[in-house]
Amino acid sequence: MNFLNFNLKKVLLFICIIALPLVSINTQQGPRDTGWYNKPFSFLAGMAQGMFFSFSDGVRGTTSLYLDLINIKRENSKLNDQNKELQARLIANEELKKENDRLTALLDFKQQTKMELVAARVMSKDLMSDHLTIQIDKGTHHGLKAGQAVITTEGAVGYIFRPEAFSAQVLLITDRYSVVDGIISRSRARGIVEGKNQSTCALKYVEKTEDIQVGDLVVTSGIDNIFPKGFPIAKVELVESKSYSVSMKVELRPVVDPDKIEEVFVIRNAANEDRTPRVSLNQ
Amino acid sequence: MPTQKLHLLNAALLILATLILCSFQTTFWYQVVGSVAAPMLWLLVFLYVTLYRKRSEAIFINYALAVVISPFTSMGIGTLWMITLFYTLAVSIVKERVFWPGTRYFIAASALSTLAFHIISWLLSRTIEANPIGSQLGPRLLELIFTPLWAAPVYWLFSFIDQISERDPLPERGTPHT
Repeated sequence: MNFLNFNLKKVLLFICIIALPLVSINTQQGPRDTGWYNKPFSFLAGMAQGMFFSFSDGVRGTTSLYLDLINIKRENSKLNDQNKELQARLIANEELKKENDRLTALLDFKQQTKMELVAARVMSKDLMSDHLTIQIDKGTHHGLKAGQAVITTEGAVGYIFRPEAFSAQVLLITDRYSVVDGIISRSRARGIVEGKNQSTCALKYVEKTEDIQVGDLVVTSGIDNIFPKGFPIAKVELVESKSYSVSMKVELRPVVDPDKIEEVFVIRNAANEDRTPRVSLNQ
Repeated sequence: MPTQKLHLLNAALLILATLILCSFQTTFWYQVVGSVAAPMLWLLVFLYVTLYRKRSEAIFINYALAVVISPFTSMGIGTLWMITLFYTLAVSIVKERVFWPGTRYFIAASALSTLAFHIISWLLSRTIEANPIGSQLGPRLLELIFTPLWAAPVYWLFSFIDQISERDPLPERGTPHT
């Protein structure tokens, strides 16, 4: 029997739908209370959230670490560049200091001596390894002539061989065609210093009776009018006296290493300079 | 371009390249590497000319190039020409028997010709000079090692010069030249 002719099930469902929130609002005791029906979901939600939090925390941590690494790498690269730049500057400064020391020594030498000198820089070496010459950056334009002596503050280097307008070829004392008149500083024994190879010379035409010992200093005699008197050439490295020979075999090592010369002086006018006393005192 | 102008262009480029290579060997190598024996770049130029020109032409060009390189050395021009003549003849005799165009041949030839140069200059020095050269094995060995290392770029450079100045094609394998 249905007097009003409506579906009772639908009405009841509708009342339930409306009543459920109203009932739950009325039964809610406080804003922070969780109902019994909510607890399992809260638990599960907490677990899920915890998991996601851990995961997202891990992702965030990894991302942050990666980003930090990128930054660190960038910073590291920057610091490395700075370090390299500073090292390069340090090396350049050391080179400058060495050059400064060298040039100061050259300047002192030039100021102290009475000789008329022309400072020059070494540009290149000979095309053929059998010929020992160097090219300097001064030539006839600067007053250079063939046969002028070339020295450093330590000793004799060679002499001008082929001067050009703005450069000159210097025949080193180690070249096999180089000859310089020399004397042993200690005993005053005389001989001719001849080039032999890249690092040695020979003192020739020395009488067997002469007193020569290993370590003796050979200086310029000044007789050849090329080098000033008493300028160091080489040190005696080997002395041999053979019965059948008239003269002694004396091998020398130049005081100036030809491979390490960077700056030289060309003597335009020796002004009769005699450096013998200073050399003797230095010994 | 007319043939005469092309020949002039080729000669000018050859001289320019020789000057640059000699400057590199004597100045740049010395300033940067130091006193270590340098590769004999000038010899590679002489080798290229000997291999890729007729014998008589090669001798003439190498004589001219000897004048170009003479300011870089204290060696007298007479000695330089003498060595050039023997070197060119020795290389061209070998070329007549064994030759194939290409970089590999040039590299191999550069090693052998460097050795030949040292033997020729040593023998000539012993024969004609009052103060002959010493053995100096160390620097010679280094030159023997370094020179072939530079052979390929020098070959490419001179091939390029020949290409732009439209030189004749390379000779065939073992073809004798008169």
